[in-house]
Amino acid sequence: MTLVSTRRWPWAAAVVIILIGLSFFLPLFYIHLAATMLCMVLFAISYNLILGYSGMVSFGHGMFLGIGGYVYALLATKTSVPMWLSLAAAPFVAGISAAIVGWFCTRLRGILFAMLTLAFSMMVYSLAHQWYGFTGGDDGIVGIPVPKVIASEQSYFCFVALVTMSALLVLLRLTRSPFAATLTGSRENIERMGFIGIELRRYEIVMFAISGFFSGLAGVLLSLINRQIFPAWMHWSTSAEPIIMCMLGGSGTFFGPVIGAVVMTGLKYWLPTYTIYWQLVLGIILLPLVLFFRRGISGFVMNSVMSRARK
Amino acid sequence: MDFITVPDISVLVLQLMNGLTRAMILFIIASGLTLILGTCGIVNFFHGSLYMLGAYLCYSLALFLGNYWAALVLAPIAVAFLGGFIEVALLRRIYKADLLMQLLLTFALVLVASDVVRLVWGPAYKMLEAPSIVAGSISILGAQWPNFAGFILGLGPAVALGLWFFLYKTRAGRIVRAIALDEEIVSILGIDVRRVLTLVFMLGCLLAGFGGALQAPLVALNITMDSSVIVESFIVVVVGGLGSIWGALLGAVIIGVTHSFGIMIMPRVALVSIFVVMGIVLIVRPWGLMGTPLSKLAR
Repeated sequence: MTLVSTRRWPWAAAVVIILIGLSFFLPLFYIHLAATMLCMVLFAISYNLILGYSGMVSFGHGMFLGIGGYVYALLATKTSVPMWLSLAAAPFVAGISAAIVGWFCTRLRGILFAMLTLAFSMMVYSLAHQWYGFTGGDDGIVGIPVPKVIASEQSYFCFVALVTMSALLVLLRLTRSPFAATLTGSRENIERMGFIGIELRRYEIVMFAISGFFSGLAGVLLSLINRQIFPAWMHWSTSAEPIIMCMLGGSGTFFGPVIGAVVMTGLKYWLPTYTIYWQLVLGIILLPLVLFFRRGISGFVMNSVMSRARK
Repeated sequence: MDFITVPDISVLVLQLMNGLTRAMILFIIASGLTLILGTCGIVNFFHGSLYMLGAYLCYSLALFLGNYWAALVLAPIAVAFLGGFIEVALLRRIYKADLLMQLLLTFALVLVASDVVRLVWGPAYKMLEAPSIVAGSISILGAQWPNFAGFILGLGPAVALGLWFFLYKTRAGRIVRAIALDEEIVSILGIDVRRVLTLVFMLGCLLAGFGGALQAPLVALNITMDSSVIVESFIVVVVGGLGSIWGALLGAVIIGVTHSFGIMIMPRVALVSIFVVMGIVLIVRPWGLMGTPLSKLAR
């Protein structure tokens, strides 16, 4: 438990330095891949805030990823708002949208909660997909301008690494707070939390909004490194990805989704270069994971470490 | 307002009929989904793939046998056996697991099935001609309307009636409903619950395959037809009320007609209209139009 109780920022700083050091040696393709992985790590962890800590299964988180990306892209291409300001504003818009969506959805549980988040995300998706005059429709927005300082591959990678690691520190702090513990309590036994006088819905809405904020941040970073954005980011198939990442890595731990996001993003980059039947391979990889590693890769590793420690 | 077009009466009738035809196929698929959800408690994301497999199998069998009607019977049966195999081999292990495990496992199966179809049938579109007995068309209020669509329109309510009869008027149906309420008590009474669940799952798969086989002569088959149907089926099930057969019929009619008029009046918002309907139902009446507020699934 030493890793958790000591100060964490030196670890994060070390990771950032290693990542930045690596970026000097990696070819461009890998820099882009690594930057995408970092964004997806942030997306998966912010998703796990509501999945792992409060047991809500959202099926519409692509919406917040897309809102973050679109707000930045629209501000940067259509207005003269300073780019850094647009960068900072976009996650807040995603967070506020999440608060509104969360207000409606938290009245439901389980599959119905999932379906209502799906409904909202598909409404936003259709808006982006059909409103050609404003969002570019299904052509998306291409050639998004980025601030000069982070225009080159090397510098945008450093920027993405810094922002994601700082965000992860904030999120780690958040998940160790009494606030998160309250929500975990709700996942375990919702009636009991009501009995001790806690109005859970307010907690859930706040957590949903925070999750939306950081998903939006991941979306802004993704639009920065790709310089383009498409409505597909908000489609339900994108929303399904963080679910798979969290489950693959294990949603019971903070770092589980990191493993899931890296593995998933890596597979999605690599597999199609080897075979057009990459979905088949991905499915066959997922099946035993679901059946035999119920708590994901991280859960499996923890289990084997624990049982060895006991001997 | 250039994106709103006002059509004449025959177009309206045609559009209504098209919407209803679509609704009936959607109902047949969704009734299987709601049956599996209500009895086995499985959120079966794989259902759309079973529908797609039904359509492709029907296509191949119809070409091979030279007879659509034989294919219409055989393809769903083949799909049902495939479903039974999957239930015994995989799904049975996760009945007690949470929603996420079910989503993930069935999603993995979706990925596998989609590439298997691509491997076997190839990525090109496939067309099957409507069977000759019902190939003609009739005229309703000046609109030409294919007989085959009329056949499907009659079939939907027939399937609903059949399922209702099975669930409420037969001993086997009573057992199925009892299992939906309390598995343990039923097993204490000496009934092999696991076998019943397998059979119910197979019945659900049969309905998915049947929907696909009915769809085969109506649209060009393609390897993405699973994803749109699974989302629409879930919408139908949620709008109607989880586990409710008549709810699924009502939900399918609402969704089918909304979609078909949406396409005609405001093509740009047709895609979103069905999600708006579901959103409103979930906010106003979360347990669905025909569901019960205290249903254990609605929490």
